[in-house]
Order: sequence, then structure tokens, then C-alpha cells
Amino acid sequence: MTKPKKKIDPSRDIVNALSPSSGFDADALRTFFDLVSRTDHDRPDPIDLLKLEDLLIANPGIWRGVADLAVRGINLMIDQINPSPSVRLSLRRGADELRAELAGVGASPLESVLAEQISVCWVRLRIFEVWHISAAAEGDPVLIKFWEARVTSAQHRFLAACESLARIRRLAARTPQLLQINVADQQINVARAAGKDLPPALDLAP
Amino acid sequence: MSWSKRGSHRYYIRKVRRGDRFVTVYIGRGPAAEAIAALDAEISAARRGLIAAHAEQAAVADAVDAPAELVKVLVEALTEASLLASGHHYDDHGEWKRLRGK
Repeated sequence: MTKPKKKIDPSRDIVNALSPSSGFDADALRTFFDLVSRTDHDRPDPIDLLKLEDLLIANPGIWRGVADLAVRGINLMIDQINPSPSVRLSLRRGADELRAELAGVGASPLESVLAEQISVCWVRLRIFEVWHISAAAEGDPVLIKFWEARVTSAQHRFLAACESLARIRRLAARTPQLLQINVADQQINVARAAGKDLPPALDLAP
Repeated sequence: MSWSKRGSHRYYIRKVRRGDRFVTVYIGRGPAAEAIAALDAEISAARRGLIAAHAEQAAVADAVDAPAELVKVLVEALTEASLLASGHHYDDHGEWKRLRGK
């Protein structure tokens, strides 16, 4: 899992990319990114951490928005190759099956969004491979090299997304509350359950 | 590539890059120069077509990348938020670690 390096405001692009019916609250999204940025320190303000928890509970649209973004993103990506109906169906079904298989039954919201990301990365990789094969058939060395680089990059992104899910599940084995945010029935049991309001000290043990 | 008129004749010339500067190379005139000029024009047109094709495919690749990158940004932020809220922090060695007491 890679940590976002750019401290920019991506909420505007995300809101623009979402369908109006997705129930996404633009203000909540901006606040969310702001809080993530503010709490990303060795000793985050416990008040900010509580605000972040509250926001994740009170705005399930943020979690569900990933599914909306993924579906719309996959459709947009598939449109770029102008495929036959069977190829379109195959890509969509492949993404759906991969997501369902990786998330499993009763997946937490975090596992679900990570599985969504993997399915999007998988579609991108497949599309780039199609273009690479097409360039190889045409025999244009510059285009072959271009699509090779894109395929390699997409493979890295796909693997990184898979590793993120695996890492989260590994961390959750030691910290079960990581996956206990339950959006569906508004149940959450994260740091607040421990009753710790003071900034915690670092645990350097792996 | 162009034709240069000197007196009553026109000569085919090429502008060629030599290191940091461009130099003019005189090809000459007559049927051989005409043939070379025609060949150069063909190569130039093909190169322009190839550049346009590359630009088109690069635009397609970017259009495919854009939605995937938006999903990535949001999922990474949600992952980070969940980790922070559950008592983890991102250490200097690039790993998420638990905070003591969580």
C-alpha cells in the first residue's frame, strides 16, 4: 500500500466523476480529505481522529462512492477500446467476479473498496494488453515500446492494489477494529472503543 | 527540406542537425534531386502520420488511466483514514505501524 504523496484537493475531480444519484456529499468529501491530511502525523490530534471516525460513520456515501466511481470508471475505460458486445460483457463480468471473489462474503467496507480498486486495475491492465497486442501486430516499434511501458505500469498498479488488500488483512489480524467499521447498520468499533482520548505513544514493535 | 532558388535554377537542400546547430546540405538539382525530394516528402508525411497515431494512442491511454487514478486516490484515502482511526501511523520506513495503547 502506498501512501498518497500529493497533498492536493482531489475531491473536486472525484465529485465531478460521480453520478448525481450516488448520494455523495461533496462537502463531506472535502472535510474527509482535510482530516486525513491533518491526522497523518506521528502524534495526531485525538479530536481529529474522532472527527474522522464520525465522518466515516455519518457519510456512508463516501464508501459507496467508490463502487459508483469503479463502475463508471470501468465503463469509461472499456468505451476507449470500442469493443464488441461480447468483449465488453467479458471485461465487466471478469471485473465483477474478481471483485466478488476477493472481497468474499461479509466483507468489511474497507475490504470492499480495496477489492473494487483491484477490479479497476485489472480492467486497465487487460485493456492495455489488448492495445499492446494490436501494436505488436502492426509492427510499429515505437508503439510497441509505448504500450509495453503502459502494460508494465498497469501490472505494478494491479499488484500494488492486491498487496494493499493482503496487507490490510494481515494488519487486521492483529488489530481487528481496523475492519469493524460497519456502514450498513451504522455500527463502528474503532479506536474510541478503547476509551483512549490521549495521543497514543508509538509502538515500535512490528 | 526545401528548394532554394539561385539564378534561374532551383536546388534541393536539406537542413541537417549537427550537434547543437543546423547546417544546410545542398543535394543539387535535376532528376536525382527531384527523386530525393519526393522520397523525403514521403518519409516526412509518414513520420507526421506516425506522430499523430502515437498522440492518439497516448490520449487513449490517458483516458483509461484517469478513472482508475480517481478510484486509487479515494481508496488510498479511505485506507489511510481507517488505519489512522484504528490506531496506526505511517512510519519513516514506509510501513504502517500500530500506536501503543491501541
